[in-house]
Amino acid sequence: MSAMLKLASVSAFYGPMQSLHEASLEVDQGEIVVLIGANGAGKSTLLRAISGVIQRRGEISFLGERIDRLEPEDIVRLGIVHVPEGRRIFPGMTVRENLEVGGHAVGRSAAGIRQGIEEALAHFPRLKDRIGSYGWSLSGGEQQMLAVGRGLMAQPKLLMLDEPSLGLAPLVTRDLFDIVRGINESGVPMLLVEQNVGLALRYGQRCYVMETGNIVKHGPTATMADDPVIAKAYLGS
Amino acid sequence: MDPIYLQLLVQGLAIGAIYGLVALGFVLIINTVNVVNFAQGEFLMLGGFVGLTFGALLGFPYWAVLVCTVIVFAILGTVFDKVIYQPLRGGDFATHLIGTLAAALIIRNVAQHIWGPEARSYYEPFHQKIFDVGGVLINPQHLLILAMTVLLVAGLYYFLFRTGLGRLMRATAQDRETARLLGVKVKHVGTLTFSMSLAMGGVAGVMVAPLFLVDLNVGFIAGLKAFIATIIGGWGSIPGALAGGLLVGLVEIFATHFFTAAFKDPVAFAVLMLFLIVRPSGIFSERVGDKA
Amino acid sequence: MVKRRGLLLLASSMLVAGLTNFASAQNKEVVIGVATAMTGTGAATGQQIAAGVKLAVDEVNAKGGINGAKVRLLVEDDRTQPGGSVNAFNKLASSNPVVIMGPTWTNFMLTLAPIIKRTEIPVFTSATGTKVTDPDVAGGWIFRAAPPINKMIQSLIDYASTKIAPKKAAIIYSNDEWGKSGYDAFKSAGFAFAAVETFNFGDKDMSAQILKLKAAQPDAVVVWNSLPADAGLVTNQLRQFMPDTKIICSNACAVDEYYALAKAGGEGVLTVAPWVPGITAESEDWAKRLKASDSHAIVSYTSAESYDAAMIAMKAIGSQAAAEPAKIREAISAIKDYKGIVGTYSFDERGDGLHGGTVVEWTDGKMKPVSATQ
Repeated sequence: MSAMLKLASVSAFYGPMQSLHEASLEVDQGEIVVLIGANGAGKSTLLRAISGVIQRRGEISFLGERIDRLEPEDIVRLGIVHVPEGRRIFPGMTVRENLEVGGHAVGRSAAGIRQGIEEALAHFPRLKDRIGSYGWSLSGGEQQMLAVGRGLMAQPKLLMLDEPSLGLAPLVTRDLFDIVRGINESGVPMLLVEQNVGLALRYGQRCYVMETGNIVKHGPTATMADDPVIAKAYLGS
Repeated sequence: MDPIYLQLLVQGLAIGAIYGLVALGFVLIINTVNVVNFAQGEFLMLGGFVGLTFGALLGFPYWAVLVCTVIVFAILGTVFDKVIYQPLRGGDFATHLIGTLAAALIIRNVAQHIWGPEARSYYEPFHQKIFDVGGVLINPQHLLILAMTVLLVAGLYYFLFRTGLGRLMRATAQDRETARLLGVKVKHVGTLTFSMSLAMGGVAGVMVAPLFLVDLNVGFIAGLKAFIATIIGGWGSIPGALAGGLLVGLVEIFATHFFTAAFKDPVAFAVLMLFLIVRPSGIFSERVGDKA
Repeated sequence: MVKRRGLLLLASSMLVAGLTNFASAQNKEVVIGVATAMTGTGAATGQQIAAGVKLAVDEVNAKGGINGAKVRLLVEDDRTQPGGSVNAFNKLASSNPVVIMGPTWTNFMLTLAPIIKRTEIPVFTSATGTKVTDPDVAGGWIFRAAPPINKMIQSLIDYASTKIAPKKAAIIYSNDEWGKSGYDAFKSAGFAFAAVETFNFGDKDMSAQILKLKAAQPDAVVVWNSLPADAGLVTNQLRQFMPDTKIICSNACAVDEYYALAKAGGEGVLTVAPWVPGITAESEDWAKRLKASDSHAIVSYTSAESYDAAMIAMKAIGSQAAAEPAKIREAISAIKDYKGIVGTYSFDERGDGLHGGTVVEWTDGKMKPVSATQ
């Protein structure tokens, strides 16, 4: 299977500071690839480099085409959807409006948006009851579901999730991740950043470990569980 | 009730609506693009001159004057966005202050070069006719201003809450970074915001010309009052901008009536001070969740 | 050998020096400065000063200059700021002008007065505030090419009291020294105002005040302010509520800019004009020359006074052998019966050249004199 997303020696910068050092990574069709590491290891930075919202160097290819010179709006339209850290739903807009924005942002038609909302609600039935509620009034779990649902509105070919479990109760997290797995099984490969190493290893097929802006280890999650580097990352989180 | 109070009320509301429209443009820019545009008042001034050019100098009918004004200012909005405001983005308040005040000066000087320094008259569409309705003197221009303001604000609300593009604009205002991440072309949204904001100021300028004359000096004071209106109404709030403007207009005219003109500005500032002390967040303080 | 070469060197350097002196004598120029509002709220009037002076200078230069010396005109913009006025004046003074044309606003001239006194260069102004030519204000260095307001207002009040004789009068004036002095003058002359209202500079809506004036039901309303644009605005708003009441206005209404704004509302307005355009053949000819020199130039009493002032100054300079400010000052003071565009100038001990205005009434879009010039 050829790589869908491929990073080759990608570096990223916040102004003069280099926060990602020559990272290489691949995501293939159908997989969930997890990215783990301690706080500040550079995981979010890597996602942002892919999305094009920060300064980056190196080769990033998606479906065989170079995307490292593109603007964020073009990268989203190619099918890479980034659900950011901290949910970041629009607080002054309703659940419905948040979902709509996900579709309008990539120019989806009115009919497409209606259909997209139905599908999102099918994934996250809990949101049906809250469809007219404002973003700021939702619980953490609901906000996270909304953020993922909003991402789905852009019809992603690759979904990137940044720390979806952050701040959520374990039960809520489990429900969320089951739904996420369901989305993956319906054909959407994922790059998942998680601080919760246990979750990451349970749901992902392959794993990359990051430390201070570098990828230090990678491999199938099945073999990673006993790895001392992983243990260190686990303790470090 | 003495009919004079009804007259003062209508007048105060009409002038207040003008301040409100300028303030609205001001707030839209703050929300979506995060620039404090101290040149906003100059677009009111420019609107008068543009209206004069289309109406008096080129002889267009009034509805055409309004349409052409909207088009001209929409285009000017894109120009100003690229030339003046995009370079200012990301700067701090002081940078905005200096940068946009410099822009205001440039706009004023260019206008003087084009139209000359003298004040001009533009009395469309009512030619200064006044109607006597049972002892109350009604100026139809005031009613036109109020009607147009209602129309513009209703249109704005429809756009923001009922259209996809409007929702994108609100989303960008609430969380620009996330909007960008979702694929919103935030630069375009910014340009559109400027076009809308300038168009509102320009149309207000055309409508206020029969009352204030077409004059290079209109901009500065209008901008200042719009700024005050924004603070009183609630920084960043759209209904607040309008409410603040109306309040400033009413306070001014009733202060002049009950005291003298010399007290007009001090009273308005006193009301502003009162708000800053008692309710610093303004009439419509933003809900916690409205802005990211 | 050495001696001959030395002599040759000496001779040639003397020749070069002589030629250079000759050249600079030919290039000797007279500098005239103008400090006025080219931008800012007073630009409409301020630019007229520059236009009038420039026409005079161009005409004199076309005839060969002053005793063969070209006149160089320097214009500095005060941006209608008193501080700007000071800067403009000082900047001009550093170029050693023989004469300076100053701003037309009385309060600017009063601000400049101590500096003028120190600098000791003759300054012409068209400002009408009486105080400007008080002897202690600028030590006699200010000359006025306009009638002082106290003499103009007297003719206006005389006419209004006898010919208009309102039973009830009201007044709206600008909230500054100029406006207040108009109010005081009318009051001292016996006008008992049934309603007194003011407006601030920059105010655009006077309806609250006008409603109060209307409630007093006056036969006549006095409008007293300095900017033609504001006078036009007040007239407009006044006419909406009081279409037939007589308006008596300051000289801010004695310009075409006023009528262009007031339009039909300006008909019948009584005012006092330092100069009425279109009355004499000379005025008409001058107006044509002004427009020919600059199509944007405005024909008004301000541009006419500035033209006259410049001509008088250049005449005085030409009458003196050396460009010494004290001598020029004396020469100007000595001028009597100089026929200018605005009127006949005779400078008195205060430095005032004109001593009265013409009371006019706007009729069919033109200022029509209703009493003779003093």
